Amino acid sequence: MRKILKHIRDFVQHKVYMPGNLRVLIRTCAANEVADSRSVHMDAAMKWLCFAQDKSSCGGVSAGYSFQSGWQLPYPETTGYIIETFYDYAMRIGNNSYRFRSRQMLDWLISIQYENGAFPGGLYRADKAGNIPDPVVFNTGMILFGLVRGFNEEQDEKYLHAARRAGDWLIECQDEDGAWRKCTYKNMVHAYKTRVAWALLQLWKIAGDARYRDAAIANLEWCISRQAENGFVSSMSFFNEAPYTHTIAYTARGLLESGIILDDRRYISAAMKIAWPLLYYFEINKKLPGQFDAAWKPAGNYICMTGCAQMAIIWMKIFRHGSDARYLNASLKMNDFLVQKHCLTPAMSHINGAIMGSSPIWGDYMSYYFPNWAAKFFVESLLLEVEITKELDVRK
Amino acid sequence: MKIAVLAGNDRNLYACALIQKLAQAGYPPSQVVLKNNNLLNRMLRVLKVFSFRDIPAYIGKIRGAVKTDNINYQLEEYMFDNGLHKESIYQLSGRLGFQLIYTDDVNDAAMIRSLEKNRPDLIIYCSGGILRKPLLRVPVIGILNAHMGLLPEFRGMNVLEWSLFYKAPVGVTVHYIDAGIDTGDILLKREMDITQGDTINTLRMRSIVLNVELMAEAVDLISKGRAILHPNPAIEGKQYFVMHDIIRQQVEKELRGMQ
Repeated sequence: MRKILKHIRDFVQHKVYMPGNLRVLIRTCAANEVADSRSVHMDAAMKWLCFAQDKSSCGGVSAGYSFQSGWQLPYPETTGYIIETFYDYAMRIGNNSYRFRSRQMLDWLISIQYENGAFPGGLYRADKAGNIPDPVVFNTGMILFGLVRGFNEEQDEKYLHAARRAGDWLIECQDEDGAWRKCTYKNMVHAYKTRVAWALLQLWKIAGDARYRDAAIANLEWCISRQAENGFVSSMSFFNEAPYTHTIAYTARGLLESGIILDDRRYISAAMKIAWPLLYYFEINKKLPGQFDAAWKPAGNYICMTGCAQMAIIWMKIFRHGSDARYLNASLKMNDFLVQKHCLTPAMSHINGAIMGSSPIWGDYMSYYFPNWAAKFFVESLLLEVEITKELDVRK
Repeated sequence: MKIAVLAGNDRNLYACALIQKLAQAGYPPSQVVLKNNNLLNRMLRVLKVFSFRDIPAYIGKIRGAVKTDNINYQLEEYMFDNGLHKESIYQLSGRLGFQLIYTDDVNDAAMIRSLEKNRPDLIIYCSGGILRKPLLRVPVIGILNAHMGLLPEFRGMNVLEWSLFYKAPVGVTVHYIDAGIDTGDILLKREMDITQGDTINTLRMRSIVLNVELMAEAVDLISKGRAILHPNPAIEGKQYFVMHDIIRQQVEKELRGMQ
């Protein structure tokens, strides 16, 4: 009964009854067209991301499209890591317009960087009184990815300078034990800030300042100290809920990539201890629910689409690093699932190429919403698949 | 020695060959369990995992499989050479006189009671899904399975393909079934050569023939008290899952290149 009431409330709150939204709802429930080639899906998702960028008209990328309020404000955090995907895609198809768009994103981000080097949390909106959002550690870390990549691609010192300022602020905010407790989402401590550690390691590689590396290691150590024998890490959730696969994957990816950069097997193993139970569940049950509890039992009967794409990426990276093809196998199946759910609907330009937050769209993660980060991780996963299957072709 | 066979469906050619081979060797089964495996039941099982819109793809998959993969020329040739008849399990029961038990689920309590009445010494697994503990406790000696890969290294699904992917030897292992995935003690294992012109499909067909041979050999050894058990520690191997088509195609390509 409580579930039915919740659905009714969501139906009204998200304005699902509006004719345009009802059409989208039906579209997401109907059988999807699956293109013969992954390129078609990548292209559609990238064009949708461009559309989202154009909707913000400032250079940043709109957070996504929601049933309730249409196109959202630009989201600095995800714009930060979308930059990398745009550069990757530009390289793949040899189209410089994506590079140009990356630069637009970078320049917008630099324009909103705070005096102290931090970046704002949440969607970007300066109200009439000129109040701007509070700075947030995780969001600053995600933007750091874009700045580092921007410097690597453009060799423009302004991006390195902005990255250094952001990195310095992150170090200032860090607690002695390596965790970040100040300037965090809902004032909570989060294990998924291993991604911030990974971003700091990228900065260390280009700036050569050991403080960034040390701060990253401190956070990674703090994270693995919270890992249980079964691989589950406490504080992987946003708040106190069972963590979404989205934030579980954030945590695992941060550990994995940091482990690869530092060539430290402990972090890679910690990431694999998270990745394996999810892979096992997916292979046995043919689907990956959106949330898991501390015993790796599903805590929701919907699918978090971005979490799926993120896990596919992690599985492929683990395969590439260690050659256990079971990880590649699962990621290929996951990508098959994602392309089946990918919206290819030229008649509805606002969702053509988008990935919904949850499947079904009324699931608990980003209900009735097409977030830009789902499309970003979807493209990243397909790009990686194309790369890895090419490598497979010439393996000895 | 009283033997029961979990045969899966009525048209299972592997079970048909194995039952006759055992009968030839002097070990005819006294009971054979068949699954009520009509299309509706199978589609309902698919629906538990997928959704209504996956049904057309599933029917297409079944039809495709019937057209190509399910015809095992090597097994048919082997049966012909060994005087084994190609017939349904139901027809076989009339000829060999074993009891047929039909069930929707091999772990069903009523099915287990039917088996227990006869108290088999040995159960031979040909098909039928995952076996739960109550069924594992029914036979006096145990439940035997012929696994299409070499244990303990390759456990789970599509292990022949996974062995080829890792360029490891291919073969068959006869082992007891326990509560784990292919972790019961090993009785026999035999490698298989890869010959000119082999594909995944031809190797699968040959390994089914080897399954029949090795299983009959294992039953004979058990009956004569000469079976030697080898441990099969899970830690020495990996559990594999259904192989994705992209990897399978790669394996096929590499298999052609090996020759």
